[in-house]
Amino acid sequence: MLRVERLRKRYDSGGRRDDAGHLAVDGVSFQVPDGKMYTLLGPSGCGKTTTLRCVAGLETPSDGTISLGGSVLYDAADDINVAPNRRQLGMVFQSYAIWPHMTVAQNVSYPLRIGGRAQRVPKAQVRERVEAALAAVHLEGYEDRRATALSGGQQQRLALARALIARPRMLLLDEPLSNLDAKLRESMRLELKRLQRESGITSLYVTHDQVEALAMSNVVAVMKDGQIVQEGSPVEIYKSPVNAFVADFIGSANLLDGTVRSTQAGDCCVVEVGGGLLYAQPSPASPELRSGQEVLIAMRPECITIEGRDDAQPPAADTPGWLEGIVRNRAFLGESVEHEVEIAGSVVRTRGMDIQPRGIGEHVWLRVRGEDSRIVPTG
Amino acid sequence: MGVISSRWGRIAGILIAAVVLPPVLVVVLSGFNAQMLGAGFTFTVDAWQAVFSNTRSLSAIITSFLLTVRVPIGLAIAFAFAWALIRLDIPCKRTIEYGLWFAFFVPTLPLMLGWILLLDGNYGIIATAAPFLDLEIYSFTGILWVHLTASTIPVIVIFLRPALQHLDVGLEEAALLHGATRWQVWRTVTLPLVAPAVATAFLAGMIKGLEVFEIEQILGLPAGIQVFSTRIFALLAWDPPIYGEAMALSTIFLALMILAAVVYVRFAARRGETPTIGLKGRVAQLPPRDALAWLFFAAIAFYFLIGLLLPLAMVVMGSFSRLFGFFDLANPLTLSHWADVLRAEAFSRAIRTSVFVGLGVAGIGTVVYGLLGWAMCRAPSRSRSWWLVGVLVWIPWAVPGILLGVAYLMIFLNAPFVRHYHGTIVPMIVVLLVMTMPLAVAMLQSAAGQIPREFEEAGLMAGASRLATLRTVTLPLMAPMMVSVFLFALMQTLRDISATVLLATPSTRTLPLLMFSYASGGRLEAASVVGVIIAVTALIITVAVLKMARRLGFET
Ligand SMILES: Nc1ncnc2c1ncn2[C@@H]1O[C@H](COP(=O)(O)OP(=O)(O)OP(=O)(O)O)[C@@H](O)[C@H]1O
Ligand SMILES: [Mg+2]
Repeated sequence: MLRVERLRKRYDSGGRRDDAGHLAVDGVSFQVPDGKMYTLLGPSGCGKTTTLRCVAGLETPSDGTISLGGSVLYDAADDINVAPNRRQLGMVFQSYAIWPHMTVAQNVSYPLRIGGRAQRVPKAQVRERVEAALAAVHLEGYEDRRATALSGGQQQRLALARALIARPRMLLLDEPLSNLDAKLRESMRLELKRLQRESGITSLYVTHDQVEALAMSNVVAVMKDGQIVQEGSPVEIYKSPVNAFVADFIGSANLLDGTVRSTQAGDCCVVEVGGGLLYAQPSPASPELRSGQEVLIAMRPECITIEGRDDAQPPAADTPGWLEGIVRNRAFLGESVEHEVEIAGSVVRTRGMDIQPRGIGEHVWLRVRGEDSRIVPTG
Repeated sequence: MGVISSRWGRIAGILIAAVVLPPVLVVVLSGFNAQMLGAGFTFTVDAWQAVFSNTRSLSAIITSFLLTVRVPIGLAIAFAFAWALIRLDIPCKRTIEYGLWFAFFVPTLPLMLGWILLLDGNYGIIATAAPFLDLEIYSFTGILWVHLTASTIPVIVIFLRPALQHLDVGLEEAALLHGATRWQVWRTVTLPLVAPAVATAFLAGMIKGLEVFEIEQILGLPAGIQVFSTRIFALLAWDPPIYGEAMALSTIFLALMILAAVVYVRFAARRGETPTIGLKGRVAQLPPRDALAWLFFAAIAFYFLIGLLLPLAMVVMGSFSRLFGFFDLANPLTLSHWADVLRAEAFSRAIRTSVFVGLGVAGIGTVVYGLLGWAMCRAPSRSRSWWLVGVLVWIPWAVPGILLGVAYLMIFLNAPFVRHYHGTIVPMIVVLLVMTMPLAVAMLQSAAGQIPREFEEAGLMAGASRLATLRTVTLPLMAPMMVSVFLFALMQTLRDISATVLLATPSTRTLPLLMFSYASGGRLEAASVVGVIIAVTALIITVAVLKMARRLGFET
């Protein structure tokens, strides 16, 4: 179990008086249970990498504690800071950091050949373990290749093999897939998840790609400005964002301003937005709602269905769940079609699989079910 | 770990300041001191009055500046060459490249000997064959000519080329597509883009051009031409040496150099900001080989032939001639000078000294500057102490060799503790280390900069200690550049005269100093023998460095 508590990291300003430095991580606490994959998700500059590097020991935190399986790695109060090479962690870097002056086998076997005498492994065993490690990532037979002669995907797998070969206590991954092309990224995502599950290694994963985070993690933590704003299972994060930032960041939701019209305890309430009335679910984190309160409603594009004006059931103008609008833009994305529909001045995006593209300028109805639109606290 | 801490920056700063600042302080203070360094301080302005009371010292500085007129001339020619080499499909590019680097590395003194052999009024081949041309090597134009052909042109080509090479042609194409004519594109896009690089090269050329010594000493003396460095040399050759005036004069010169260096740094910094000249730029497609390419090829070949091969051939011939310049003797050719030189005690001592000094400078320099360059790369970008280290490292670049030599001479003559080392090779190693510092550190810093920090962090994460990471990851990746720096420092030992001439005793002369003393003593044949040996060494080192550069991937 990795435990991170009240972690803070302020980047040094180099002794300049006019500059207090930059607070990259601002009191982050979380736990990664054994064998689980925990993901830090957030936009660029939110402090994910810094958090990960503090765990790795490559960056010295300004405050807080980090412990792994009962042993303290860092403790500001007790002035403990274990050197990165003594933490027994495996790490996959965004750029892979495959050493160009070594062969594939030399790269993989490095963690077994280097380090304190106690860590070192007998020569005969090294061979075996290199073979096993390369086989696990489907790189058997590449032992004597120069590492630079590998493709991006192969280098990625080599980096993974190198990170795992010494059987580290934990695996750290910083955007390991971001340098791969779309197709490769998808297959590596599955591969990575398989390896993690099979080896049962506790992992801390950093990414800014919400799809990756949702697809791979047991727990996702969404970060903003050096703080964790929401933590939960991928489904929880996706379904019940605690605020507009999370809603917007995960799957680029539509956000509409509205006013609460009626409330039913613990259940759906009716909210008036520009183009009509909607049923919406209050978020678990939001306080009690009152009639007349200004709120923000989040709707995922794929949960909105588009109906033609003259389709079967033209709803009564004030039936909740229906919004009237005009198609302003559309895009064919291969597996789905996106529309941008203007509703009383704001634009709502929809994404669907099986519908005919609507004509631009066409008047349409949007249908949003109560369980798919969620009231989120503003801010 | 991650980065090198500011504490290491302070330590490095203090160590570098300890070798870089004393020469400057010694020069400035000694100008105002009536006593010798170390004996005490009595304030006086006598030395300064001496400088201003006669015209010789001041006019020497003016002459130094007048002689830099070669820089704009050289720049114009070098720019044309560099441009043609990049944008035209010139034949034999590889050979031209080797030639340029050879010209860059080979010391000027052997080439100058060649020119004396060609143009000396009494026995020069050209001078005697065509007296009506009235060519005189011992003159202002003679000095200009030797500098221009032997160093100014090749050095500027080498410095300009990378900047021109990385010019993104997309920027020019964009202007073409908007309807500009080729000439308009050149005037409105290309020229403004390359201007900072050209200005930087110009200033660097001026600064380096002001500090030359040996050509002026040998060619200027008979003609009564004195420049700053030879004036200092003359003042110190008096018995007793006139230290005060030499130091006051040096202070003036130092102030001018530092002014120029500040302007230079400003320009260089501005150039760094020009986003268009970066590694990402798309390099121009070469047009088919046309008449223009052949024309430039002819011009460049002509330059190599006249500027380099001709004087070199003369030196070789001179080393085998019975009497320098007199080829119409009954037996004009002889091996006796080679035999004399090779047998001389002075020569074997010079070889020994050169090897010890060269290996000392190259060995210490490579290790120390390798660590320094690496640390400067890994230092926190906003650390003040590391910023200061970066400034200190460049100071020797603006200090002329002769001035460094004088300052260290005074230190090693008078300062406690180190006084003990005067007359050994230690002062020479120190002064050469200081002299090579700016370029060596810059080269190694750029090599370290090409190693992603993650490579080292991956080593740490794999369980290797910091030192083990440095040894197994950083060192192998920096090795080719370290070898280049090693050879560069070795070459510096084999070419330097100005910094070491005052520090060497007759028993601790390096090869270039031996050549210089033969040449100043009128033994031109013996000087030629040593010159040939140095030139051949330079050739070998050039090839080795280029091979290294290829391995580094700096395919130029
Ligand atoms: N060495 C450093 N010195 C000073 N500031 C830094 C340093 N490294 C990062 N920062 C700053 O700290 C903040 C967090 O950086 P961090 O690299 O952790 O972000 P990130 O979430 O990983 O972003 P990305 O997705 O772009 O990688 C940023 O504002 C960044 O500018
Ligand atoms: Mg990051």
